[in-house]
Amino acid sequence: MSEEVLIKAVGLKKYFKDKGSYLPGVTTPVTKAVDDVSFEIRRGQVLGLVGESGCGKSTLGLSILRLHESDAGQVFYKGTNLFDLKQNALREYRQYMQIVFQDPYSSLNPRMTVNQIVKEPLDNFNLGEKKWKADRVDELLELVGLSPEHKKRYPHEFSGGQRQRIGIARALASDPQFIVCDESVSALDVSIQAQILNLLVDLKKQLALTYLFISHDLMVVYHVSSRIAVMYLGKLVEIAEREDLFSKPLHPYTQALLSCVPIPDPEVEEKRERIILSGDIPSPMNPPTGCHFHPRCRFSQEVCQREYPELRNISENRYVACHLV
Amino acid sequence: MNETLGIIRRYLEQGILAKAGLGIVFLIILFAIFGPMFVRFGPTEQDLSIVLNAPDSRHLLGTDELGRDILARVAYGARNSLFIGIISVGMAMVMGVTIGLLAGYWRGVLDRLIASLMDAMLAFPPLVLAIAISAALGPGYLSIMIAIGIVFTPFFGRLVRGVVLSVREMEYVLGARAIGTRDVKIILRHILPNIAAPIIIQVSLGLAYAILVEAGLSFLGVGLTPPAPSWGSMLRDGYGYMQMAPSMAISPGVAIFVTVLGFNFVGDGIRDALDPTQQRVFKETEQ
Amino acid sequence: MTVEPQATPILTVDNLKTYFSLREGWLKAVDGVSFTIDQGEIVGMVGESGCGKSVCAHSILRLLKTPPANLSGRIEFKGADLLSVSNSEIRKIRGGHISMIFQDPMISLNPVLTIGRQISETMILHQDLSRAEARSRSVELLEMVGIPGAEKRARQYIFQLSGGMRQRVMIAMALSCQPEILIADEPTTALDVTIQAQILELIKEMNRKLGTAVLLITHDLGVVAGYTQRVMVVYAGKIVETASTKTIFSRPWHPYTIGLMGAIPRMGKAQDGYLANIEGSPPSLIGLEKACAFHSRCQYAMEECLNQVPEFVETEPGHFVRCFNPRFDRRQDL
Repeated sequence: MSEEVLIKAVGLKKYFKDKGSYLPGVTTPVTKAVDDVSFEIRRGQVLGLVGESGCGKSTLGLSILRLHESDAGQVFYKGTNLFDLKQNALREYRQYMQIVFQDPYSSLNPRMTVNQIVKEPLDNFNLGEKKWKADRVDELLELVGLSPEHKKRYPHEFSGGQRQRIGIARALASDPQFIVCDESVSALDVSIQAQILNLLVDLKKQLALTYLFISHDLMVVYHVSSRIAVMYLGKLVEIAEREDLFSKPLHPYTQALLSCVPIPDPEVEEKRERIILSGDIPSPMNPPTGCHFHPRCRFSQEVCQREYPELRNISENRYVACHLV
Repeated sequence: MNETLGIIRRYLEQGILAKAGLGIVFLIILFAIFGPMFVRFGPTEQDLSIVLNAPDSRHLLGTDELGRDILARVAYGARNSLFIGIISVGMAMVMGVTIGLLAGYWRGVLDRLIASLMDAMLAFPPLVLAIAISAALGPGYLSIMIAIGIVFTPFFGRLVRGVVLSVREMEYVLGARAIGTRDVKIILRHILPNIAAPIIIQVSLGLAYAILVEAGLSFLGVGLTPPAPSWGSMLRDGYGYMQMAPSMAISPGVAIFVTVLGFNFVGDGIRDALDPTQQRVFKETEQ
Repeated sequence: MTVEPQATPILTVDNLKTYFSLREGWLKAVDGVSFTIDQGEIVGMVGESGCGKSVCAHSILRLLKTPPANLSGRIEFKGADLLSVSNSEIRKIRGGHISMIFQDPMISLNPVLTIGRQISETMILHQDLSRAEARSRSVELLEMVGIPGAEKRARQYIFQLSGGMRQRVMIAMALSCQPEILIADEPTTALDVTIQAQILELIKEMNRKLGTAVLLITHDLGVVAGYTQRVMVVYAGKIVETASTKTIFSRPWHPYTIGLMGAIPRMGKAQDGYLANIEGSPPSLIGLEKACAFHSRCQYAMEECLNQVPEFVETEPGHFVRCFNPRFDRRQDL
């Protein structure tokens, strides 16, 4: 692990305040979407971020790129504190950090041609002359498996998988080093998902990229990531190397999550012990006291209710937030 | 380009009303532009020997109380109405879109200020507000156009603000920010083109209404100064002579009616043509 | 899968075709689908979006607007053909004998009626219960589907419940009249994995307890592996392969099935490994030619595949494949 640290997040917090009432003495409920999250990603790594709805993973992804302004914390890109930068300086850094969104239907401007969409970052950052930019667009389209002939067309003329490719081309245009993949394959069918996943893995190797791969689908995350972070109600509850996490999950939530993932193998499914969590996923507006997971945890003790377990480094590259580990 | 052709095609596939509306609007515009050139008489040409005549071969719509040719007055009136309509709606559109964008995109205090102002203006019945402004500014072309322009601004403003609020949440706007696009460019390139549809619809419906308001203002005497021909003032003048020379009131009345109808049909047609045509395939269970 | 269903077919779909008349031509959403559902079994219908599985389910209960939908074929249930019975007859069947639950409970449940009231409605309609009887039975049903505090919940509205709870309510409603068949159209697609597990376990339990047969429609092969006894793989409006669940996973024959299984990421595959993907995308369902719908994406395509539509071939007892060139492929290769 001698690679440099590319992205370092420290104490990120993003709270949403409900409009609430203005009556004195009434506290307005605060949704702690991201509640004191810290992690590192080294160059060339893929950090998978997994969790269910409401856990804050998408908010976290956007917060790192300052597409959402956080309430506290910092994010360092190669040592530079992004949160200190003013808008203009920040914009310069955006070349290096890009994002691929989830929804292929709303992430592309329906009134722009593919050419305009992919060229926009090149224009914004003034990366070259007109001819160079035109060639670059062609190059990018081919890189993602599309043809330069598609330049003149509009997004609605393409399928979901192809649109995601356009979105990826746009993200790659400015030659970034770090890409946030925010549920980038979640809206695609299985066979198309496989195509796009392969593409992402390919591009990572070819262009030496670093990813933060956000998904609710554990198996997809398993496939692309080298390290995985599990998120629950705004906090990271476990971070581990991929194989470690899947073979020996330590946090009870991770264990339950893994046991609930449907495995396409009837023999395995038959013999499986599913840990069925009782109750619903709590709303982030009203997180339980102490350990957020304790109401649904089958090992819950008195201390779990009282005190929040900090994310501890229990062994090399392994972090868990649980009193009982 | 393809898209525009597609919209035109879908428009023409609408029912008879949309096509009829288009035909009417087209004819009215032709009439307004070329009509006055082909009319034999001037709109203010008086001939006191033939007052209040019924339609005949020389005066196709008859004459009014000062012997003026009604047809000529309707033709010139068309010019006035359309001119006033287009300018004032144009003004309202520019102002309304601007403040709608400001309010919807930047939000915050500016938004609350603008929204409240628009709400206050919308609380008045448009005609009443137009009368008030027009009366304050005195008679004449300019004051009518300003009055209607101001009165219609909040219609555009509210509409644009609403659409901008939803469009700015779209992922492609976020995407634009992620690739470093500046705010102004985001508004021009990402937001404006995607809010064009409702604005266009509002324009066509606004034109219909503007003509109506102008007619109303003129009817009430706070519009164009006589002897300038205006459908509204012709209505007012003809009102008193209904029994003797019904054509005086009916002619401009029909003109207003047909024009407004035409623009309304066109507005509806555009709205339906721009709607993504989704076929309803699944129906609800009956119990 | 502990219950061995008696192999008595209670629903037989015979050559169902559901075409939609569009400006561009006929959209053949379901193009000659035949299958049976046996008493008490859980059958899976799996395929990607647009393959016609949902339309097929809606066709069974005649929930499509005709026109533009056009149904033909025969659906035999309790001695009658569901496609030709009268409207009042089919209404009796809906909810009373064949129930359906949908993907999004938010739009399938009535937002202005209390939950108890909605569940009661079905029973009052089909079983002639009085309002009071129906109400107490509703509470029982809510308990049966695992909703704590059922009494209180019955008086609440759906917006007060979470996604998982709402699905349970839908299931309670669907099972209230003890139907012979429950059609579940992507019931867990919109739910988180932990909640999905809860709901699927519930459906399994209801199948065991009440003996209701289930047609489980999903795009998720994992769900199929864990909860069905038999599977039908659907592609472009036709069933391309059907067999018992265990068989189909260990010996898939149709190239599409094989491709689909290969495309799923699973443990044990190296990170740098590729997912076997299927090139191209599903064909448009308008104006399908007289050929195998999968041929343009199939690596085993032969001459015949371009000229004729393949019929079912029984490669082993109970295992049907619609292919001219079915491949024997062990799971280890995937």
